[in-house]
Amino acid sequence: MITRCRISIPAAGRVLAALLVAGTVVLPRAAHAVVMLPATSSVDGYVCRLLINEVPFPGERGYTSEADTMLAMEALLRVLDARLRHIPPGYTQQQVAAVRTGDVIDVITAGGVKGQFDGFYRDASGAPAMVPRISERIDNLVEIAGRGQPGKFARLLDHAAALARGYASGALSCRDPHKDVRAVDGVAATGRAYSWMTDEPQYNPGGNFLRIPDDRAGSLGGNRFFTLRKNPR
Amino acid sequence: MIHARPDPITRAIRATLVLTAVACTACSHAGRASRSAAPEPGAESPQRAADVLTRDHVAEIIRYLYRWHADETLLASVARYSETELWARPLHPQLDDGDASKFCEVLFPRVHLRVVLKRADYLVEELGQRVRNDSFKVHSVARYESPPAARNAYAIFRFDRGELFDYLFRTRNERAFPDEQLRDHLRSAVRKAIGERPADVEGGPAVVYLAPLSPVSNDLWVYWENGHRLIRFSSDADLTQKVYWDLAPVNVHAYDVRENVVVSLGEAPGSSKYVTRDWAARALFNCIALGQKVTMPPGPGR
Repeated sequence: MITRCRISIPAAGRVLAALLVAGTVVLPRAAHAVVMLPATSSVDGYVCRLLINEVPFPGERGYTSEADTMLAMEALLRVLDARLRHIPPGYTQQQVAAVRTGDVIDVITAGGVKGQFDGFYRDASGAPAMVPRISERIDNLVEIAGRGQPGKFARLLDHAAALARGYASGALSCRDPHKDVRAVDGVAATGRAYSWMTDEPQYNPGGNFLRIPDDRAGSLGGNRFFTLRKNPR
Repeated sequence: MIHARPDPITRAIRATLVLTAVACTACSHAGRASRSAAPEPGAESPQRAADVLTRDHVAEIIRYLYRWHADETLLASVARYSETELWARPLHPQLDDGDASKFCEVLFPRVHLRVVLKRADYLVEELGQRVRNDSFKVHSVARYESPPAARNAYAIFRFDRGELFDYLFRTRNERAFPDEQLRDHLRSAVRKAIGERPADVEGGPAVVYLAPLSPVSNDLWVYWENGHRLIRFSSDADLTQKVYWDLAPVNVHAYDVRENVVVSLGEAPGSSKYVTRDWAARALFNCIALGQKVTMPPGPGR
């Protein structure tokens, strides 16, 4: 959520009004934006932080454009939803998501010592948590977003928060760029993306995951997305 | 001197562009190629594609690929060819308003390797700083099954493989490291990245190894020995730009070589937490064998 902080203008006297008209007094414009994310302890807050952590912001490696990063966030959310609600025939949720659950927080924190999403886990009390470097990164992004007029950083953070809020309230209306990926290099695929990783050769989810190619929007926001073999090996 | 033979199908053109390094099938230095092959008819702005890659720049691309992406199977697969070939074309992804960044795609068709280069040029409004690269940097490297576009969309270049490999071998250990100003930034960034010492890390000064720098990459790799962690700083900006270090806290990734390494990614399917031992070994080789050892005293209050 972006709020604007306006500096109040003192009640204008005639002198001040005259000076304004004369152009000798310049009133400050609207000041910096304040970006507020949902609380980490909430479902939308936790989901939003995963989306933010996994995509590049301006100046970061892998950044192409605001639109590309936003679409990447939407694709990430679709992966979470696919792992939660769209396990394809021939697979179990345990196989795809390393967990059996109806809770998106469990999908994010799944895996125990073999965590599916590095840095996101449940603490000893069972509460969703994240490692300090993730919290620090997000704090830095929020701080940068708060400098000057609302810009790309603020819009990207707001987009993540809006996506997460919508999802937590049961509304998933964002784009799904991988829904109809039914074949990859001649291999029948299930459609939908079920995994993502940093788009570099050393990262590959292994198993029955298929790398979605570039011409099917397989690379978004510096991440590579993966669908599943229709016929698991 | 490495010479590129003109493609017999096309006319030779005068150019200072040399794709030597690229022609080396994705690995290491190419040396000094003197000419580039003329682009085939029909290629999209072939001269522009060629203009993207200067001789020295291409050589550095190959050195980068050699250090970070090549393995013996890659080189062995092209041993039977007397010349190496690369394809290049500009790319035009949708960018933000005011973003003047440029992209270029380079293919090594015999090893199915695709390199996307980016020369960033855009304003980060919140910081009031412009991210602007002094040259094209490696944006991504990936294998491909089929070329992303038809052959006639690319400018084709060929180079004498023997000369290329000779240069590759002779310069395989050439290294550059941060100067003192960069090391000051790096010390601060590494301390922040290390943060509070984890319980499993012994006290005392931090011993780190800096991997050699590359003029075609804005990645900076550090191996923190007593923390058993590989740390990567990355950015769209050049290392010499202030914005690189202003964004360092958000651009850092750490890999625990004891916890985040597996032999095969199939051991934890679907997880983004792991890297392979082969990859980790490559990073450690660059940091320790080729790198520079630096001892950092504990920060204040530690």
